[in-house]
Amino acid sequence: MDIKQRLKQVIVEDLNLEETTPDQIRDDEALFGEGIGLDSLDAVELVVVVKRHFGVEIKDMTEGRTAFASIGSLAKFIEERMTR
Amino acid sequence: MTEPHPAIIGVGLVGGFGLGKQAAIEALRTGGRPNGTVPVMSSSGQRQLPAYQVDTSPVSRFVAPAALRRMNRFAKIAVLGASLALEDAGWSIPLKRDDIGLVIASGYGASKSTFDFLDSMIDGEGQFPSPTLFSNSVHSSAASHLSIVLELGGPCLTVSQFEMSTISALLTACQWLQQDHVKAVLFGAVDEVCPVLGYCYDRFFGTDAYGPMEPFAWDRQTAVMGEGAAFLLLTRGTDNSNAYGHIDRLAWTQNQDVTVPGDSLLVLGADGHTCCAANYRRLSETAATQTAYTPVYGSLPGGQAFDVAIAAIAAEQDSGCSRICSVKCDANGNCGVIECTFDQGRRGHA
Amino acid sequence: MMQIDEAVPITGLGCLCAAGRSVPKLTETLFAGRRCVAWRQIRGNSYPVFQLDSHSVPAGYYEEAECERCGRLAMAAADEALIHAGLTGEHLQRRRVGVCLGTTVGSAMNNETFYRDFRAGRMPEIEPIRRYLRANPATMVAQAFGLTGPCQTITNACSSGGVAIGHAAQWVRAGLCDVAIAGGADMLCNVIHAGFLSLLVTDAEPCRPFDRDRRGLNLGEGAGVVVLESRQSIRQRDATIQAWLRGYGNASDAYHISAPEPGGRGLRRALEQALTQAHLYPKDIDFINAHGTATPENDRVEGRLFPDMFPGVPFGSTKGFTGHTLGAAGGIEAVITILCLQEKRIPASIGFHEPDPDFAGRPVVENTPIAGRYGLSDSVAFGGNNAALIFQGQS
Repeated sequence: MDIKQRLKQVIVEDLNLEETTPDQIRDDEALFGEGIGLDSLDAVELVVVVKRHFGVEIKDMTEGRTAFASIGSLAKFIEERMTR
Repeated sequence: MTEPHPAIIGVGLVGGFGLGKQAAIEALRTGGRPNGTVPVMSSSGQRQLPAYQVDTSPVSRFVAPAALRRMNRFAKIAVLGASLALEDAGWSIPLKRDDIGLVIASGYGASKSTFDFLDSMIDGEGQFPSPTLFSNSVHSSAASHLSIVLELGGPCLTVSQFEMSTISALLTACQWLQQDHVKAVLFGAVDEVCPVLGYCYDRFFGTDAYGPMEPFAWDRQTAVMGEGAAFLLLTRGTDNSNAYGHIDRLAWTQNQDVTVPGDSLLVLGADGHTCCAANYRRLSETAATQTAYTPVYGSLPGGQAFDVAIAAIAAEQDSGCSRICSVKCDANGNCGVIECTFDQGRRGHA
Repeated sequence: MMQIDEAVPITGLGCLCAAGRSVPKLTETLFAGRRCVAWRQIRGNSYPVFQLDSHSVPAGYYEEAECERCGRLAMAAADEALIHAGLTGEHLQRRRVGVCLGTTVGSAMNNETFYRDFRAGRMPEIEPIRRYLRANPATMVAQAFGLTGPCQTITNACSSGGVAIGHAAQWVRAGLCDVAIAGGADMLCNVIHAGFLSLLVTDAEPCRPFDRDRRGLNLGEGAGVVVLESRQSIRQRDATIQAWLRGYGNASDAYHISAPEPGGRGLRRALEQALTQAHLYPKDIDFINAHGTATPENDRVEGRLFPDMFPGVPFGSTKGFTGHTLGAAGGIEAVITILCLQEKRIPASIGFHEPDPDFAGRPVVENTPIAGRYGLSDSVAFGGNNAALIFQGQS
C-alpha cells in the first residue's frame, strides 16, 4: 500500500471519520477547512497519527502547517523524512 | 427556599433500565436488575461482575454523526439524558440560548476517558499520547460537549463531590434560578462504569459485589455498580402550567439533623454500601412511608438525581406520591436532602 | 439575606505557589520580577515547571504523592487565609462555614503506577483508590477545620478557581453560610503534563504571555483561597475587611472542546456579566489580571478583546511567575488581584518582550502604579468556560 493510501486509511480510522471512506478522499483534497474539514484538535492528533504509523515526527504546528495542506503534501512530507 | 420554588418541567433518564421514562417506570414496576456485566480479574480468576450499563447507540437520534465523532462515552450518556429531558419538556434542540444554565454532577467524572488517555500514554511507551483522549478526560468534558451540541452560551458548572455531587450541584442550580441569573437550568447527574471500577468493586467487596442489590439489608454489602444520566429541566417556577412539580427545599446537612416531613415519602438513596448503611438505617426507622429506587439504576455516586427523576415520573403516572423527601448519605455523615411536591397525574399519561 | 448584586466582603487571603509559600512572599516575588522556574524531566526532555519544593510548603502538608496533595495544598492556603482573617477555631465553630474549591488533578484518578499494574494483570493493591476517595479537596478542607456548611468541588477545568469564588459569594449572599473559603488547588502531575504536551500547547522555555514569539504554557501548582464573609459575621467579631467581591460572570463559548472561540464571545459575556453585577463600566476598571497562559490562541483572544472592551486599561499575566496552575489559577489570581489593589500597583507581565502585531493589546512591561479601586481577574477554560471576577480595594 502506498503512503497516500495508508494515510487516508489511518486518518479515517484514527480520527473517527465514520461518514468517510479512504476512497472518497482525493490526493489534493484540503485536510482542513473546506475539504475534509479537520480542525485544530485533529491537527495535533494527526501529529500523533503520523508518528505512530510512519515513525515521522512533526515538531510543532509551524512545521505541520505546510505538511497538512493536503493528503498529497503530507505524504510527500512523510516520504522525505522516511528516506532520511 | 424562597418563593417561587424551582419547577421541574422536563425529566430525562438513561441507565441499565434502558432509555427514558417508560423504561424506568417499567423497571420500577418489575423490580430492576443489572442488564450487563463487566469482566474483572479477581483473585479466583476472570469473572463477570454484574453492572447496570447504558446502551449509547440512541444518541444518534439527537446528535449529527459529525458531532459524535470525538464525543466520549461519558458525554454521550449525558447527551442522552439531557436530550430526553428537553424533548420531554417540548423544547427543540439545539437551544441556541445564552440564558440557560448547565449544571452537571458527577461522582467519578470521565473515568473511562481518563484511563483511555493513560492507555495511549502507556502504549508505545509514552510516544503517542492522544490529545483528543486527553481533551475528553477532564470532568468537564460532558458539559463542554453538551454546551456545543445544544449551543448553550450561559453559565456552566461541573461538580465532583462523590455522593454529595447531586445536592451540591442542585443547590447552585436552584440559586441561579432564584436569583434570576438564568431563565432555566438543565441539571443532570452523570456517572459511568469502566473496567477499573469493576476491579475496585471486586477488590473492595469480593463476592458481595456480585449482587443482587438489597438497599434495606443494612448489615450486608450489596451494591451493584451502575452508570447513567438523570436530567431535570428546571425553571423559575413562575409559570407552573405543565410542571411535574417543584423543589421545595434543599439542604446539605448532617445525618442527625435530618427530619423527614410526616406527609412525605422518604426516598432513600441507599444503594447497598455498608459504609453508609447506619445513616440510612437511622432515617428509615423514623419514617412511616419509605422506598429506595436504587435497584432500578444501580449504585452510582450521582444517584440522587435519579431518585428525584423517578419520583417525578411515578407521580405523573399516579403511581407515586405527591410529596417526597429524597436523602442521600455519604460515609462521613453528610446528607443531601431534596424535598419536592409533585402534581399527581399531571398529564394523565406518559 | 443580601441582594444578588451586593458586594461580598473578603476578610482573608491565602496562597502558596512557586512564587511564594505565603501571600507576603508571593507579593515580594511578583514586584521583584523574580521567576522561580524548575525543570522536570519527562521522557528524556526537560520542561520548565513552576513547582512547590518541600521547603516552600509548611511541614506536614507535602507528604502525599497522590491526588490528596491538592487537598493538602488547599488546607495550607485555607490555614493562612483563616489566620489572616482572624477566624479562630471558636469563631468557626459558631458559624456556618462553607468550602468551595476548584481543581483538576484533585478529582482525577491519575495514578499511573496503579493503572500500569492493573493493565498488566498484576492486580494492584487498592490503597491508591482509597486515597483517591479521600482526596476530594473541598471535603478535605471541610474535615480539616471541622466545617459543616455547604461543600463543593468544582471541576470546570481552568476556570474552576474563579468559578468557585463566584459561587461561594452567592452562598454568602443567599445566607447559606456565614463564611466561605473559596478558591482552587492543583498539583503537577506527569499524566496531565503529557496531555498538554500532546496538544502542542507548551513552551520548552519559560513562558512568554502575550509575546510575539510565545510558544505555549508552562504548568504550575499551588493553591489560592479567599475568605468571604457576611457583614453580620464581620460585625459580630469586629473583623477587618481586606477587599470586596463586586462582580462575577460565567459564560460558555459553546464552540470547541479544547480551543477558545477566536472572537472571545463567551469571555466577553462573562466580563459583561461581572460588570453588570458590579454596576461598573469598563472604564472604571483599574487593571486586569489576564488568564494569559502564553498559548498562541488564548493570548490572541484576550489580546484582541481587552483593548476593544477596556481601552487604555493596563493588563498583565502573572502566569510567568506561577505557571498555569489549572484549577488553582482562578484562586491564585484572585489573591494576586487583591494584593495588587492593596499595593496599588501591578507587577510587570513577566516573560513579555516583543509585541505581537496580530493584536493591539500590550501588557505592562514594568511594575505599574494603579488607583487601587477595581481589579478584574478572568479565567478561560478548556472546553470554553469563561469566568470573570471584579474586586474592589478596601480604602
